[in-house]
Amino acid sequence: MIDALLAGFATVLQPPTILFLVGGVVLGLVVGALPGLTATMGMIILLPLTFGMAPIDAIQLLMGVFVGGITGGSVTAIAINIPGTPASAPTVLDGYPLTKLGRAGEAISVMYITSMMGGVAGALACIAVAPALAEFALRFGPPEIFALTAMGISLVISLSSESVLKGLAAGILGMILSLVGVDPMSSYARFTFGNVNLEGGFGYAPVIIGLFGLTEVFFALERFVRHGQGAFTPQKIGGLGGPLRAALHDIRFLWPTFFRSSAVGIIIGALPGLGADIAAWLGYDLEKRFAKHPEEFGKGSLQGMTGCEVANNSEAGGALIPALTFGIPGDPQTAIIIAALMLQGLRPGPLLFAQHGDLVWATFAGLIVCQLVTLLLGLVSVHAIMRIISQPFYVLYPPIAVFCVVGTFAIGNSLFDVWVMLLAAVGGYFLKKFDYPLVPIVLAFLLTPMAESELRRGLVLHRGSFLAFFGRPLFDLILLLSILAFAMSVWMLRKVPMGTSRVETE
Amino acid sequence: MLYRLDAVFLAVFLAVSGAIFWLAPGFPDTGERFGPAFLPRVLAVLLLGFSVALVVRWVSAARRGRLARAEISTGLGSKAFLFGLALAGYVTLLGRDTPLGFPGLTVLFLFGTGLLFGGRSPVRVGLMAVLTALGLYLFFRTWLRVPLPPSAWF
Repeated sequence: MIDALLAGFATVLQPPTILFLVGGVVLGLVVGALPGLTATMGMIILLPLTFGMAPIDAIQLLMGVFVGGITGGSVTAIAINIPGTPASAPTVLDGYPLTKLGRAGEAISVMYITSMMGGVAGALACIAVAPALAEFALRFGPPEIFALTAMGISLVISLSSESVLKGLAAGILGMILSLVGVDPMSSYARFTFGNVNLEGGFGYAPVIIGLFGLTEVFFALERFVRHGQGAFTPQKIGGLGGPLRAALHDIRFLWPTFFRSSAVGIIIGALPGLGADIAAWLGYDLEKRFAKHPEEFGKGSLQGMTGCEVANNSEAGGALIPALTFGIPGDPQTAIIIAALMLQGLRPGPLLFAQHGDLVWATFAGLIVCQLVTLLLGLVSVHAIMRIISQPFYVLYPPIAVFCVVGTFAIGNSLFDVWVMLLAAVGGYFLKKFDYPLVPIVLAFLLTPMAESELRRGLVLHRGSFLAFFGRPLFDLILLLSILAFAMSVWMLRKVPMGTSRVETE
Repeated sequence: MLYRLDAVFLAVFLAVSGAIFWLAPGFPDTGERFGPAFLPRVLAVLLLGFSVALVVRWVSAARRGRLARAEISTGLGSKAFLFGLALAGYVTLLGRDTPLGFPGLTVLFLFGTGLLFGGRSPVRVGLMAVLTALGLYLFFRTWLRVPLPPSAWF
């Protein structure tokens, strides 16, 4: 394991891979800091570009945006009282009060350092668990893989919305969308109406780019019209030398918070359907319960801020566990990483570990390097980021729309894909407007083809008897774990404030 | 939360379920016990069930006067419509053989939508449009070799 990890570091630290990683982190920090733009959108914009890249470079680029984006969102949460990403929403509660107390630099420094620590903890958990789980998963047959994907789909669609019925309807819609195209088992073209373009089905990338990318441009236009706001106006932040020393002093008292919140983030990340924003809220809530002075929360408590920052960053490592091991994304960002692997012709799962182990270990190493690079670049780029986020909306959003169009076209040189992306964006805008969550649509869309083909393959093996699945111990174990995971998720979600978005785009 | 306009979504869900029930029997018999029509039928039943449950809740909320109004102002409506129209026009023209090509069409699109997003100075918006369009064209066509339609002048 150590040798494989060291080889992974050696791969990641060589050009051009390290350059793509650093570039991804820079883009992630900027995109994450911009309210309305999210880590997911940053990854979406780059997804088409990864098609022509080496798999390791593609993964490091996207992970850089992922990690940088989650962390970058907290800068604006602290500086201007607006979270750059949903995962940074609880950071506002204690981060902005620290700014008002003149401690913005200290808050930002503590945020970056503790985020790095949480991220490394999540990466180490992923390294410890994922290879063993992949080894175990090699024993899975079609019934077990079906059970896992069904568990992933059911968790996401039942937990992603405050309105369970709307979440369920959205998930079923995503599953139905995935049925368009050639049936994987019989090669019969379903719901294509004779259109050649539909025989390949709706592409993953156009649907994801439309729902997670272009939809947000529509919402940005709405924000501009509704609030008349043409740009953000951040407060000034002074030099970071002194505040950084103060932050290093503060962190000595935050170790218990780090351990508790890391555990929260890793567990939440491993459960499909929850995501970094839920992890952040639960981390904050947990720290408030353990605090000696809970009355200080909401007034500038470093413990509160650290609780959510560690949790939302350690979630990344947790989410990669089911994503790499079973191909089940734990959150929208890992769904994009899976889509990127599939664009490269690679299928996440136990065979990925067996056939492309070097790529997997480089991914693990890259996750740790991303955290360190985010810390370094984040600290030196705070003032530059503040200048970027104060740019007018017309400089930011229309070019993003063009990027979505051209990026989608670049994947398959097909205008049909662009139209699919546009329709997905319009549909996504109205669905989100009326509280139908988008994440279940995408995750169900991604997982249903695998679930269907494994179910039918399993039924062929067992002569059409579904009851025979229950005679397999691994199938029964996965079923039991699904029930436990569902119960744990429901219990955890009771502690999340009402009105918090579930797994929305981050 | 349930909205008045949820009725539109419910109608769409019911229509999708109905369409699947109508089309699925036409799928071929592949000899499997659960062939290509199996999952579509299951999903259609589930969607129908959830839709009926939502209809019941919608009607109940309507009777109690508890249906919310979605926040879509007319001002936004016209701007969103214009933006959507501009996007659709941009994509349509990209697929046609025009002398503007990608650079020209992109400059026009960015200029128009830049003003829509609050750009007050046409000169600044125009400059942003030209630089962004040329930058994207060079990036995608030259570096990534994506066959974007060229313009007659660039």
